[in-house]
Amino acid sequence: MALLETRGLTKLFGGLSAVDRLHLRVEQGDIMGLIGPNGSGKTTALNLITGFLKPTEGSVTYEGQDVTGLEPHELARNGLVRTFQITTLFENLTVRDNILHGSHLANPTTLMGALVRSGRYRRQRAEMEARAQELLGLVGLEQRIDSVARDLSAGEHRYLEIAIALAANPRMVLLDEPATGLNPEEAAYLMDLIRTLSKQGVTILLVEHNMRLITNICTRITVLNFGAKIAEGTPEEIVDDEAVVTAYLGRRRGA
Amino acid sequence: MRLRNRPGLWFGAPVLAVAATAPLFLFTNAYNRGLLVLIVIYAVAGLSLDYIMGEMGQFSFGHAAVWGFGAYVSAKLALDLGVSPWIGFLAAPVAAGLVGLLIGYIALRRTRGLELAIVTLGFGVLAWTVALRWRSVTGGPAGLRQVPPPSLFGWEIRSELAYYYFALLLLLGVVFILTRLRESRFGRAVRSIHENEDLARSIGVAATRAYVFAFAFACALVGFSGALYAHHFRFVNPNLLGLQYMFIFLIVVLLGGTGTVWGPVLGAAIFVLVSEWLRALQEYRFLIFGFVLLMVVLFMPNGVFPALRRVARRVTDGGRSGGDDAARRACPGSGGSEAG
Repeated sequence: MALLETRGLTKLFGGLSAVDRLHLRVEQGDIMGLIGPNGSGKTTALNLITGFLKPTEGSVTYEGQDVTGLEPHELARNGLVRTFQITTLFENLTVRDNILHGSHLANPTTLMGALVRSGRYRRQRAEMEARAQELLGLVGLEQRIDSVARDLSAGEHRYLEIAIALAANPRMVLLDEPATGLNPEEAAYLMDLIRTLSKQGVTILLVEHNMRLITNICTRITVLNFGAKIAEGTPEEIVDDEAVVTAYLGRRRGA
Repeated sequence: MRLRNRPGLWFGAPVLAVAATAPLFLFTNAYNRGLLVLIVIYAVAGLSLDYIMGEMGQFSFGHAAVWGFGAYVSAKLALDLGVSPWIGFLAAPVAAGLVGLLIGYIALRRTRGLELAIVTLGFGVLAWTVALRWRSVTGGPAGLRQVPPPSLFGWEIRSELAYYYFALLLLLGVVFILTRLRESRFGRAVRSIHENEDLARSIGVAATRAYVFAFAFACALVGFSGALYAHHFRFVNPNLLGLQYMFIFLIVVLLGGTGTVWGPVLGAAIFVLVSEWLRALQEYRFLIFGFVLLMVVLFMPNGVFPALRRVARRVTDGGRSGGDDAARRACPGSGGSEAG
């Protein structure tokens, strides 16, 4: 059984189909790449899956349950968490508070505990603090814990975003063009980070338009063009696929 | 440095000392002590409005209407049903909180920011009009008189001094709860929605629900302030629901500084004392307040309290002061609905 599956997923904006009858299967443990030229419907597909947009037609199944039309926070509670194409952080808070605020689902404290600052509350808070440090260590931001998020570099922004997503203890993470705006070293570090997450058992759907990045790291790839799936397979299969090459580079000379 | 670990304490402790001893020197007659009570009442109202402004990053023009509603609830219970004002002090926030739930449920599902301000303005004007016209219940423009003061063991708290200490104690309770609430899971959820609603939703915060409850909480708090007003001044009228008080609360918050616990308290003190000082000018006082507000917004955009705090940090820190956390309140960005 696939962890995430969409069937006939369609989104019409006016008469235009941004996503057109998309069938997508992500198995547990996959690093699935979702690629396609600009405007091919990748982010719309991701918004449909995570509940930020409601599909015109079609369904989304997660862990065998129909989750079509659920709110983003309901999906997050089921372990499905996303990041955004435009870096999305709590810009005005410190790195530490970004994680602590991001730990909403993993926050066991009660209102009464916080009001009277009970021993149990203080213990739980200390545990959350330790977990925050652990997550920041994982993404390499432990030195920046007291910095305000908006002072971080482009790369650090992305790493923090991923740490926030992880704070929700996800089973699956959907990353929307995480390498955008990163220099090659930062992008390479990011890809290592994604591999590490995968090894820890997090299933990944990675939206990207940079094919070189994605073929290095993904176990499977789905290619979109004009909202529809034009190819699916292993990275090796995809780079040789005629339709994919055409979509990306235009028609091959002499073909 | 200990003070660094206890934000607000360096300011809270001296304020408390001044507040507790004020009736002993400067505010020695009943009239002046009445001013102190008014400061406390406006401080609670300002804190509740600032919960909407500073914590939620939203605005409600209907906040004075809920304040007046709270005042009426407690006054009516005491006058018509002979209910003790002590019960009124509980009933008013409960009733105001329920009204807040209702308004929040209607308004916050669809609107944020400017739209929310307009929708709540609609609610506010509606409530004020009803209060003005529904003479049999509200007493019409004349309002209701002879609202009883609370009594303790058969002894009525009529003295300004006793009422002041009573109200001050409750204000401290409110400050305490607000401070602790910020650190709570709920407080962090509200803050995260304020910072970035899309991100908050994506990590599992039920944003609209949290905002509805936060709004209702602020309404409950202002309803409580209204009840304090009713039993102190011992009358209520429809003007309490009107825009004049709305502007007073707004001045209190902006003057003191949004997003801080002590800001509205300081703002209330400045407002009451300055407006008393300018008493001879009558309505022209608001002209001066308009001007003062303009100056504050232009030159101390975060209010008086954060400006004071900066100075204090510079003194205790030798000038190596960090950023100003009250300034970190940019509007939430969005990134959720981009087509790829």
